[in-house]
Amino acid sequence: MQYFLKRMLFFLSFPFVTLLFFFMIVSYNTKNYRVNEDVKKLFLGDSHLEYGIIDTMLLNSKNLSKGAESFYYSYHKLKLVLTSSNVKSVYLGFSYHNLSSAYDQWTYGNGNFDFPSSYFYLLPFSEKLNLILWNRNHLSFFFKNTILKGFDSFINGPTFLSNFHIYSKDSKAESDRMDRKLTFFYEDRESSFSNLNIKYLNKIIRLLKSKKIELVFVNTPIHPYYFSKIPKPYFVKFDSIINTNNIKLIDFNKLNITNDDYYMPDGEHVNARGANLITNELMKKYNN
Amino acid sequence: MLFNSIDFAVFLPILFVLYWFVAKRNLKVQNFLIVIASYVFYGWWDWRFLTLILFSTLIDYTIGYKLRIENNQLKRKVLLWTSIIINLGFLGFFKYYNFFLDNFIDAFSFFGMSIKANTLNIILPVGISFYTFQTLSYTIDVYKRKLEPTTNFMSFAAFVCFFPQLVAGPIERATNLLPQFYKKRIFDSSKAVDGIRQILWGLFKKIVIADNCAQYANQIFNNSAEYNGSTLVLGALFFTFQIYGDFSGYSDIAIGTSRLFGFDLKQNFAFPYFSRDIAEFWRRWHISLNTWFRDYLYIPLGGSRGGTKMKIRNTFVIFLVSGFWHGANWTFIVWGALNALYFLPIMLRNNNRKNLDTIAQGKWFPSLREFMGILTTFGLTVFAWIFFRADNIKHAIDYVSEIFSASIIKIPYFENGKQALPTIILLMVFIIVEWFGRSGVHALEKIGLSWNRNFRLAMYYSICVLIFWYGGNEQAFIYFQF
Repeated sequence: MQYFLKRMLFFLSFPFVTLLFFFMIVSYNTKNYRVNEDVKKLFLGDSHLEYGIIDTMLLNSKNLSKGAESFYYSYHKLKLVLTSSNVKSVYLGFSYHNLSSAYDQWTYGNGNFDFPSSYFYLLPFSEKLNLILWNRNHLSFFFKNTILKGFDSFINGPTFLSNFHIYSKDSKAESDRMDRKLTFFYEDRESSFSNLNIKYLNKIIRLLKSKKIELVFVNTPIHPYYFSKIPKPYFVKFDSIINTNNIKLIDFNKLNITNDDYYMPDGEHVNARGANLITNELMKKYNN
Repeated sequence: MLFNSIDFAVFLPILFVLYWFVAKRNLKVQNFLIVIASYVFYGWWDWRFLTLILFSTLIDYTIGYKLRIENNQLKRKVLLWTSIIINLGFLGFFKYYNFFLDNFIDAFSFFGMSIKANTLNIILPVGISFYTFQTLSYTIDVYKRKLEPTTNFMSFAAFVCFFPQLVAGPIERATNLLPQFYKKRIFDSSKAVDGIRQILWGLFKKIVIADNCAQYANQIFNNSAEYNGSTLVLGALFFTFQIYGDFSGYSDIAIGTSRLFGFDLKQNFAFPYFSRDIAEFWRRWHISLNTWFRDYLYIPLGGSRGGTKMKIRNTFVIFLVSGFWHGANWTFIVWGALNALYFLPIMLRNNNRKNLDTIAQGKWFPSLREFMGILTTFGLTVFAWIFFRADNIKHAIDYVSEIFSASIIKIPYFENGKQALPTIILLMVFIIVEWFGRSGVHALEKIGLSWNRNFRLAMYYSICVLIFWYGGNEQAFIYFQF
């Protein structure tokens, strides 16, 4: 029996130790990520900012937003970036959909295995365990993706990062695509909010307050058709969070962009034309 | 619980430790542990059907016990038939009730009579076909006085529900498995190591070969009307390897797992696709079921004794029943009939026991004659699998018609076809490994043993990486539905 157990342990320990070593190196590499010293304004959030803010047009700015990024991941990303940086203001993408409980499936990984794996190496040990627990029903996929992301980070840099992405300026908002997106975020979720997202939004607010860094919420424009169908409780919750914490809000919906040509087909993201418009608006605000 | 699931990966080591460390000194505790573990294993799927296994255990134990003390031949016969009727009654109800009802209605409507009857929404309990045959073998062997009936209920319960082979075989004979529960098991390191090798190869067959082939086989079979003949041939080939990888993979994991706990189960697959004729194929495919039918159906019917008519009748009976055992669908019956047609000419010429040895033993390659034999047998088998896999007879006929049309000479094409290339390469590697491992009980039994240790370990790690790489879907085994 001892001989058998010894052979089995030896056989299993080799891949186990190799994987552990690999995870440690990638985690170490990830945690050494730093933004340039000249970056003073940091844009953070999900695809709304990822496709909306052209950071190359703005001085001393960096857009680190990434599609489907929940506040849970933004919080950990922010913690890492702020360990050594000269960031004075954080512009956080915040919109009504961020409050929907539909968002949780991206955080937990049941909607797409890709998201948790992209952030795995960024997280502290306890949160890594949480991620494994959330993905216990598809562990094999999760680990496979996580290993791939590890290799990816060696080649292309940390996988939790992204930059401004251009979406074709020829796109137009389409009502059926908007309906599909509305269904995803709001159907049967009239007041079903994501507790996890709200909890980590509050943690971001507290973190920035403690570091005396300015926080500004940025709500990118939403097509009027889409906007009119968002359930009322989401507006109430949105306003309540802003007012309770007294956070500055840049709401691009006030620009009242009714032209379909500025949006992606889903109506909740801007395309390249829309991104150009709102970044120019932002430049004006900076200058004032 | 599926063998290819994380749940089982946790379940197995826990049970192993409890079995060999906590219950090591006490045979009764070990058997009790096996019963509990087997019920957990089965109940993981649906605990309600545990009552069926329990009932079947109680009935056959009681009947076996009564047969032990009963000498009156008539009463013994009554006891035997009670067991057969109850066991086959459950199987018939859960598996065949709707099939018979539908065909009954169709037959009446054919003669212009309309009858109303509602089919029932019946869930087929996993493994019912397997454990029913296993318990039946016990009662029949006790009745025939080939086996001493057990007085140890725990051993009998463990024999009925032994988790590695409970849901998809191999269908063990009481004469082989039951006595193993009476004897103290001693841990054999080399046996356990070989068991691990067999589990590894079984997982490879299931996860890498079967599940990969399944996606292309399903795509082609489910949309067969859209594809040309050559693509349909490719679909049939994918299914041929899917069903082999799936079922023999399960058997390998079951046998390997049993070896970890000190049990020896019978070999269930012996590299059937290298068979030189169809009779050899049936000696190598699902051995436990085929020998069951041979011993409890074919031989009692007269076997190959008697005249030609008798031989033909018995051959058809055994193949048709074998087909029907697989499921309540005419496709399985046609599959069985086709195999009977393949088998008959060989049997009538008394050639059915010609190829009993390992093919090309001690040689790297088969002779041309052997190779042609393998190719022909394989081709016939692939053709029969089309009927096995088709949704219904019409689907199978349409499928076959398209294969035998002019479109057979077109280049195979299906959506995501390029993605199938790695699967085809893996299939080739699989065939090569199976070929060089064909003299063993499983392909990895002898391969690599004479190599440098590092090369051997590299091979095992490569298999592990492939299993990990293709794993994750946790697809159920095909034979669960039977």
